[in-house]
Amino acid sequence: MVKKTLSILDGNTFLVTDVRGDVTPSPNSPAGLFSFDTRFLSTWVLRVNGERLSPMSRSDLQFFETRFFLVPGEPTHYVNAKLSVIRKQTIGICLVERLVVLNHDIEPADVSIRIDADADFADIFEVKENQPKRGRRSVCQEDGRLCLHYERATFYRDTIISSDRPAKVDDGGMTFDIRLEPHGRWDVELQVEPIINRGVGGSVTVWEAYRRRSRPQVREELERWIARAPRLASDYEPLTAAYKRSLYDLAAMRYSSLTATSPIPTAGLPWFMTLFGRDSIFISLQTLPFVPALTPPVLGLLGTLQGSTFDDFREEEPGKILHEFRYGESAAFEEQPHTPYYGSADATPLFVILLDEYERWSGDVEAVRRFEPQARAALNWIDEYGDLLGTGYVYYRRRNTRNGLENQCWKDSRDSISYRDGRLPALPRATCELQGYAYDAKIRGARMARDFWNDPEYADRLEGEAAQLREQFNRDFWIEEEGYYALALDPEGKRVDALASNMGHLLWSGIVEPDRARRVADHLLGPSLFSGWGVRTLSTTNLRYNPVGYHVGAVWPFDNSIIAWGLWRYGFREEAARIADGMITASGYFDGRLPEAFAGYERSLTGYPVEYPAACSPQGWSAGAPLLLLRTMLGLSPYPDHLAVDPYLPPSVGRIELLDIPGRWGRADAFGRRRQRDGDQQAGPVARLTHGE
Amino acid sequence: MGDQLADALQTLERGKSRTFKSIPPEPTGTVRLDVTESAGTVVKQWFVTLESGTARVRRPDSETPRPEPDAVLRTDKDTFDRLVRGEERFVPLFFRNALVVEGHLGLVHMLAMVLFAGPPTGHHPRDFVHEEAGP
Repeated sequence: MVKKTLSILDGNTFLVTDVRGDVTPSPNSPAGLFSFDTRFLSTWVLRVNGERLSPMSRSDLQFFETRFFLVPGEPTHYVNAKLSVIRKQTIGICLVERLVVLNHDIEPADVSIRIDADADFADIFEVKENQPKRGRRSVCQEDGRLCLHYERATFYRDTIISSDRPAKVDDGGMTFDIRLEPHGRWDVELQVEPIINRGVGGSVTVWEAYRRRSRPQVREELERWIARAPRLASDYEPLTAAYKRSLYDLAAMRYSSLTATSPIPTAGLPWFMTLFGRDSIFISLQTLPFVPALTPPVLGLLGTLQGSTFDDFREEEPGKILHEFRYGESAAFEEQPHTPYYGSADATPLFVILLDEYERWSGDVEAVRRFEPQARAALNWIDEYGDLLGTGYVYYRRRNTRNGLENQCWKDSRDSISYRDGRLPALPRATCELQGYAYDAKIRGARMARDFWNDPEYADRLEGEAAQLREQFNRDFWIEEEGYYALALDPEGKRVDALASNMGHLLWSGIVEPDRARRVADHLLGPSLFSGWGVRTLSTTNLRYNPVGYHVGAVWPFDNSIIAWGLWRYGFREEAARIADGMITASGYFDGRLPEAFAGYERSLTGYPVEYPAACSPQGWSAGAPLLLLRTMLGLSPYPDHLAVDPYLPPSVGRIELLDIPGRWGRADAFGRRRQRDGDQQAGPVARLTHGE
Repeated sequence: MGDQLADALQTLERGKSRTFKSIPPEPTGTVRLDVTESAGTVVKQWFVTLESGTARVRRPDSETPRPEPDAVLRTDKDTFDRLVRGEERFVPLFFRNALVVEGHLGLVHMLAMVLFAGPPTGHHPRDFVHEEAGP
């Protein structure tokens, strides 16, 4: 049976409960209160007079708040409930639970309210892999508070549970024995505070300072965030619903790192609530026309943590942009390499691409100058460390053979890169989209060098290298008889000939020769790759194709948004609109929230998109996908003095109005309309520009 | 073995970083390095000021006035030495509370990156591929 869970979140602090707001111990599933990759509550069970409660209804007020309406006992047993409980859970730096108990009887009632609480302090990786703890747990009661403690050497984690009314506290929780008058009510507020490396001897450590840092009220912050994003109107309801859902989820998933001054996006709930290089860059790229404030802190933090030395365990090299950053016990004790882990071959060129794209939208030349050293180091990484074999291509091969990633591209599962006949190529491997990113990074790096870094020689060199890469790439990766680009090259330089979605990214990078683009687009929208909802990660003609395979058949909204962007770049507007249509329609089956991935089944077979088992939701770059698809449907391009609009809408969408698009021009509006009769596309009045804000 | 931290700081003061070609111009500020005994008593205090790509060091026995620090990095001598030799990395030690940071974390992290060496076992990825491929 699939257990229904609910989650509320505030960046990397989140709570996963069952439908009545309880958390029951589950060593290998991510239920409970998590913060900075550690579980601070693994048991949180409410009882009234010894009985568990049953849900009548609930309202998911906001991403950070849920309210449950509950009655004691099993619904099949009760006649008329004499008592009911309203339970509101709010997440911020602490979990706050407000209980209201109502007596509906004409008699007074003596009631025992009990909350069981415990913390296993599991690292998220221990939950994933079901591993035991190595440190020591203890529990104590202090001034009416329940204190749960974990320590391993100098590593400390504490959960402090307190209430605003006197409670009987024991090691397993707290109890309130109350008397309710006829039709009376009683309430209490419980607070659960997660504490990391608590200070001793009055030292205000970074951890203490972070905990005490005043932060904006979540609700007001959210209202500001929504108010600053462009307003969307459309006659296609799933589109407006997906847009709204995406903005809320993107707001919810941001977290304040220990150093960053502004919040940065996390990757996915529950497993990836932390900083990923690739994910945060793609989310920034997807959302630049809508919420540009996400991007500068991403550039800042990734730039600060750029690799500076050779570390095999972390796969660090000078200039490399990180893959994953974790704060938990396994990272701290170096059982996992995430402090930070650098095992990705794409984040580094993508960093350069994002910096350039950010300037095109924002006109923030100062940022391009400030990040010049990091951008140059990243460009240097491509040739000096990414080009493993000296053949001009970015290859990857892990040096951390214990728990490093075998595939260091976005499809990072073990079996994602294969030949058409199912064999896995030897290492190192050079996937095609990595070469596209490297090409685009050089082209964009050249623009920045010429226009902002005052280094035309460097610009010429980068352009020369890009031209050389494009030429050899089109020679070595292209499979003429099939009309598509190979998924990868193996160590011998032979083509890994699977047909996969990766080449959609090549269109986005612009490395595809124009006279080949038509054949590439036909493959992407052809029956073996296009499911009717979107482009599958791997074509049905490959031996390893599996409709419920993570990177070998499932459909990823993020992947599709980049592919649509690529199709737009080469003028395939109808094809891009078809992908947008499939994705937006699919989002309607998930209340506007596109999951991480869904199954690659033919649309006509299932009639609805089947969510990939264990998919993360919300997922950052899935939330970003509807935004990028809007950009491609409206055909938005930034120019120094204006925003160009060139809409092409799918048949399901008659009208799109996007108002107050922020950028270097101030704010601009974009309109797109589809004519009723012949389907011709019409731009509304081309963008209205309002300079200054 | 001598004082490895002192040697590393001297090298840094000459503008040489173990990892960077030059000291990055940002962030700027002063870090106080508190070297403790195993019991936790601070026995030496160094002050390092990073500013516009240079490092100024005030030695523990200096007569000059102590600058106001923007951050403090505190751990024992043995841990400092292992960091200098690249046998430990700053971030995991910070996460497991084996060293304490107060104040401007970004500044301390930058100092750690320019002052401490990478792991002695680290490979250039091309060398690694060649070694794996065998002779």
